Amino acid sequence: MREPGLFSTTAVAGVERAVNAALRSDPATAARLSRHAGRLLAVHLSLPEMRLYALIVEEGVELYLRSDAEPDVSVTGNPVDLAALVLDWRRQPHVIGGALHVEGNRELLQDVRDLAAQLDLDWGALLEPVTGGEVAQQLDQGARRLFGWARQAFDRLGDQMGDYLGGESGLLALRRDVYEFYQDVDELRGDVDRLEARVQHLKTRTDRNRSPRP
Amino acid sequence: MSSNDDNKVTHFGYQQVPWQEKQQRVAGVFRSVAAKYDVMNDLISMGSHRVLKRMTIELAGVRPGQTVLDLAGGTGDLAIKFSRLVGDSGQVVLADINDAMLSVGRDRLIDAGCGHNTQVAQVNGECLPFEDNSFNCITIAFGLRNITDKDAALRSMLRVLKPGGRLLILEFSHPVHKPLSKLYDLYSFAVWPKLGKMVVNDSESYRYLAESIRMHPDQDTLKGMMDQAGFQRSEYFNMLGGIVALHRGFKV
Repeated sequence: MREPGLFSTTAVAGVERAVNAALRSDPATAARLSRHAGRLLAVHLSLPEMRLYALIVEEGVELYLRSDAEPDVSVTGNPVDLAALVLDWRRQPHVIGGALHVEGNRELLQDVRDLAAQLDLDWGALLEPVTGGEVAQQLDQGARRLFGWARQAFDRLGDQMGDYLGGESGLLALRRDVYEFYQDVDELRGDVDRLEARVQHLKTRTDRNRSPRP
Repeated sequence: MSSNDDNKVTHFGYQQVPWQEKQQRVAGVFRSVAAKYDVMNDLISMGSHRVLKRMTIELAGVRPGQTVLDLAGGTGDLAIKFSRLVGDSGQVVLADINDAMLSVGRDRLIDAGCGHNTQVAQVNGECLPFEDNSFNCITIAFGLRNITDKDAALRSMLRVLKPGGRLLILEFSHPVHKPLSKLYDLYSFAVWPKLGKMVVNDSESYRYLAESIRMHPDQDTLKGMMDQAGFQRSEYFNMLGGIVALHRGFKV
């Protein structure tokens, strides 16, 4: 008989605990988030295939791997694009692809994304019960440097990959090119509509001229 | 009560006791441990009961607006989660036969801000005082083992479930692997009473816990009892190698 995933449930419980600990250390963000208490967000990871549900409650969030409830907003995408959305990593202007599919209340998603970006993780406060104050402070500074470096590195890597894939190799279209393409298609669609209306108009006039006059 | 009922005996741990006496004895156990029930659960399960309850909640599939009965709900940890899942339009009933446990549960519900959509009821699981077809979901976590007439309790739960509703029974069960079973016996009979003595000054209650688990029906027997009571699509999920099992059945 199949078993629910004990390890994945434990992992999700750990993530929930970490997020809520972070929220407790940032009361301003927690208060803003609690305004959405009762809302359910669904995240569908495309690779690896995984679903995660976040129920916003007064004290933070509750995370679940299954839910039969209709989410207020659901986001589908790959982990990197989702991380970029949540952590507010600078989106690469060059690369097309990896778009997130969003259904439902976009304003809620935007607000939660903004809150996640503003969440000031106090690593020192999280670690203090385990390591003591002085070590926690050092680790907090280290974590901030590490995350700052990781974010810059991600942006640089994205820039360079975007330049290479979009510009030098031509493997991917540039966002600007696709935008212009969409503009051209829109323009062509408008021209076709106008032409069709003109043809229809001429056809009507021709039919009227052919018909015998009383 | 007939003289036949007077002569019936049942088990209380490894002891045989008169049928009518078990309820009072179980009540005594829980009165003794109520104040530190959650701490003891964390200690003896090494925190794993929280993950098991989380899985129960996920399999309950509760949605906003639904009604949930958390039977033998004790200190209310499942009821608090359900209260948030059903939202303002739903309703959760935290029910337990034991007033001491229920008192702790009621306080926790209020402290968690769940008073608006929860009710607390002292009930006997064998004859639930609710109308037919009242609940979308019933959960009973680590409680069925202590009920004297389990068949009557299952029938009563089926009666108050709405058609399409589901019952989830989270309960200690029987390990499926021999070496794990030996290790588990050693741990539960040697360590739990000592922990009980240290934390709540009561080793007997935790000896009863270890014994009552061995006397509880195994996975397939309990599934058969659910089928017999009238549940459909009954199934079970072994957790921690069968130390705990989650049974689920539907009223169709």
